[in-house]
Amino acid sequence: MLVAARELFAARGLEATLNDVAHHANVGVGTVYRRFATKEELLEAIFEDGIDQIAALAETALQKDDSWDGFVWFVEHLCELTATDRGLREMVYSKAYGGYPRRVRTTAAGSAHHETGRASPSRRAPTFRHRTHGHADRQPVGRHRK
Amino acid sequence: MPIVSLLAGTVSEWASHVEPELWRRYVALLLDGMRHREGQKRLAVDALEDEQMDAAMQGWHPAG
Repeated sequence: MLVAARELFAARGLEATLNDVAHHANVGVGTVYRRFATKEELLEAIFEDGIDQIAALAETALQKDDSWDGFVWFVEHLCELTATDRGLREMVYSKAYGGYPRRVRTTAAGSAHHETGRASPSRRAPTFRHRTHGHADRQPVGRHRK
Repeated sequence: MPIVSLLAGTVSEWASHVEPELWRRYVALLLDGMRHREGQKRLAVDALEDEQMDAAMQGWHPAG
């Protein structure tokens, strides 16, 4: 049922109802409601996985020697996950359901300390402009939370 | 980050039946645009602050 539910939400977004899930999974509506009293409960069960995946990507990205490469790697892999999964996008970027997962935020914020704690003189420190405040504000990519 | 990811999703929804990987093109453009170069002009609009980001997420109810 969970696999069917994830498929359905990935394709149609979170507007799909528990009834839709039941139909898609070829089970009775009652079967779904017995396991999950509300759609939120079902979503939580499904997307715990997706959020774990994103947090794991952030962790892996932090291991890259070059912070710009790590950033690019993270963005591309994050998009790989979310581009094909509308339900995950809606879950992760809307407070109506979850909101940008705290774990991912924490991991990304932690990268600032990670960066500074690992000063390697030979390592190139790629930069990009933080927000749009101009050159004076440029910082290593790892300092950013977004 | 949400903007990049939402963009990838929208491109994918729009054109994945024609070219499922098309989103990669636009993510690459955005990434390239984020990279610092000498002589860049200030962008027309600043990025959202954290509180604004929260407000945007709060206001976006993807139906259901």
